Amino acid sequence: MKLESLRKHRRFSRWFAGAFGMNTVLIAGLALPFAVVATSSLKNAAAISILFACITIPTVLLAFLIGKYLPKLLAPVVYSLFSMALLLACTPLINPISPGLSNTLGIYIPILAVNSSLFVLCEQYSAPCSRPIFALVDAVMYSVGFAFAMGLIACIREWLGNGTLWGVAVPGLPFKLAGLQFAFAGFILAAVFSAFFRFVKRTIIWLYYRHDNPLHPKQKTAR
Amino acid sequence: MEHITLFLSIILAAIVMQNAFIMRGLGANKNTLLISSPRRIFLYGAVLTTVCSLSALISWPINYFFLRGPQLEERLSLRYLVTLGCICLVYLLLWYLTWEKAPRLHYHLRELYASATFNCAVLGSLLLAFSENYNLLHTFGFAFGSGVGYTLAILLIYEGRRRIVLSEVPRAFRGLPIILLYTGILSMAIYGLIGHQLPT
Repeated sequence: MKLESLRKHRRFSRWFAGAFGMNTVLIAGLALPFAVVATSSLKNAAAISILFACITIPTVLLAFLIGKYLPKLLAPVVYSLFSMALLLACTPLINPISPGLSNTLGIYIPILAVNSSLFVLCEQYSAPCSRPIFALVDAVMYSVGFAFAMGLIACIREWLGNGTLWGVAVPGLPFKLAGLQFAFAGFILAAVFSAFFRFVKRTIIWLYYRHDNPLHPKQKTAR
Repeated sequence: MEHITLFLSIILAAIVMQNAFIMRGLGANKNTLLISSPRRIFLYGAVLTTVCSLSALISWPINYFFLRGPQLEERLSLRYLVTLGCICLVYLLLWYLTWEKAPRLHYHLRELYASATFNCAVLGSLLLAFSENYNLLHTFGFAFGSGVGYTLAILLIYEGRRRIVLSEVPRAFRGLPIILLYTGILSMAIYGLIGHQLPT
């Protein structure tokens, strides 16, 4: 059994794992409240994604720098307070997207400071053996993956549910599924995209494996 | 009598109609969705409810006396920071108290403290209660109800998961996707139960 090609693919895809192979929302199942509720429009998704990146990258770097010196008890306190301070400083960044957006998002802005994805990454990179480059790469890629998942779900919900994209009416849609604006539609869409991503991920790995280990003609006929 | 009725109705609303998990997705993540035993779910829920209720009691006076009034917009950021600070304080207090006074309990709970405390459901429920301008008792009731509602929601999902395991689920949907789908259908059912009507 040859697995060189698969290993090579894994080494290569490690750099993008956070964005696709280990997507924060769709594969890892973290930060789900935002994907479920805050994706009712593309603007909301963009605002949450910007704030997510603004807090994740510096907090993960902080965890990498001081995590090994912090007692396990105090680590989440430091990370959450630091990310909340960053969040409050960065909230004005979303105002150009749409005035009053921070009021629309309500509690979904402050709870970004305690999202599960942040703590998972911080815990991972506060270990003494973690590599510095991957702390930065993963923080950036997790943010990209989060934005990608949020954008995907928000596009479908806003387009089919409201008939608009980024607030602009999209012509040619003869019906509206207004129920997509509710939280349950967020759960269902997250489930469907999660299944699709898992299927694609498994298929890619299977193709790499099969490339190195082609079926014997007898096996082919047996199939 | 009227106060008691209102208090109980706020608790009931927090458990069913405004369930943090099912109606707002708060605290939804793979680790909590896939907790593998009811005992662990109860322990997790107990820690979360305790933290939520105690944090409500501590942070309400600060919010009431210092962070309300006409300039609320400017003070909103301070409210977020203060509420999170109170949650951190309760986390440290609980950790210390159980470590000092009840080491056996601490042994069982030590792994759950951080994930139950730094959970979107705790901060989200408190901020929701403050935005409704409840008094101290009602804020406590809402926080307590949110914790209980969250625990019940996870138990319901655990039970659903146990039954789904016996079915033939398509491979891509096994694990997280089918649980999310189940939660979505549950959420839709509760929307219907409380009288929401989808626009036609």
